[in-house]
Amino acid sequence: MIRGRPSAVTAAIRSAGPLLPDSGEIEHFLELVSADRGRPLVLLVGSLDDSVSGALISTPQADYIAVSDHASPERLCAIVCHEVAHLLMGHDHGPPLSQSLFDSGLLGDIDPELAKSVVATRCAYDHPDEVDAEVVATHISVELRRRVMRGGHTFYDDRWR
Amino acid sequence: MNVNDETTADELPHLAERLDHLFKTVPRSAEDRRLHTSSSVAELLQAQGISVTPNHIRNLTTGRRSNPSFILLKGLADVFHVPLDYFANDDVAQEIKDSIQALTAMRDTNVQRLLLRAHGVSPKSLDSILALLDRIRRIEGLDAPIDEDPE
Repeated sequence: MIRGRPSAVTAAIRSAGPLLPDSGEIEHFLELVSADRGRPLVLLVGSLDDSVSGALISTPQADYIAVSDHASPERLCAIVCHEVAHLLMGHDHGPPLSQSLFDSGLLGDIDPELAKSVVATRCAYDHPDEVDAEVVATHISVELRRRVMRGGHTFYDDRWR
Repeated sequence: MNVNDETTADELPHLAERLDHLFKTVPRSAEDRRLHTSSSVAELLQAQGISVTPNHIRNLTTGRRSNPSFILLKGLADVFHVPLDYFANDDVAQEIKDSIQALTAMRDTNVQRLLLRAHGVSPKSLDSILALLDRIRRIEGLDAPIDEDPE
């Protein structure tokens, strides 16, 4: 799965290695990622519209991963891993906020110029690659699960480094 | 749009409130964060060859006048980047207001990036996003700023 993927994927998987807690617990994982990035990464579980299963919202102070309280533990883990993968891959800026809002479908049919006027535009970045993020996310979630299943120990810690 | 009889046929009953809402919420541009004034809008319209005074625009926002010419109404819609229907159609007006509310909440929460994992998102999904932004503002100790008066 990994072979042949862009180096960004490999690099992200390498950087995830030391951040995987022995416990395999998602909260512990988020603490380690926060410490490593020097920036809080906060999990918000709450009521979300059925059409929204998760969101990554960044402010100057912190990153927030929002997950619906209807999500199963496995789904929650998958969403968190996916959003962390974006962070590890350096998708820190993403497209301009106004563009994200349009892509999201939240705003309906309004003029892009109106959105740009209200939320200040920022430099354009490449759109984050969702497929790459999912590859990294899958790796992380498998590794976390492996640690949970083995009671906090894995024989494969060094395999990805 | 309600057309009850001949005396109201040319008037837009919600014009003042809807126009005022734009003045209070939509900055001049992505580069110029100031809100519009009657004068700044009149200048833009005059540059397009539309003959209008700041006082006339002020009268429209306060409800003293509610029957602008078509070309003036179209010019106002263009300045604020809203469809002409915003002034006349209740559903369109509500959708635009909801969108502006969401955008304003994003700005007030200092959101720099938003990635959604979602399927079939619609403007109706906005409420839960707004609730999230409220939570984030509380966590970060931000008070939602009140827009300055455009006048």
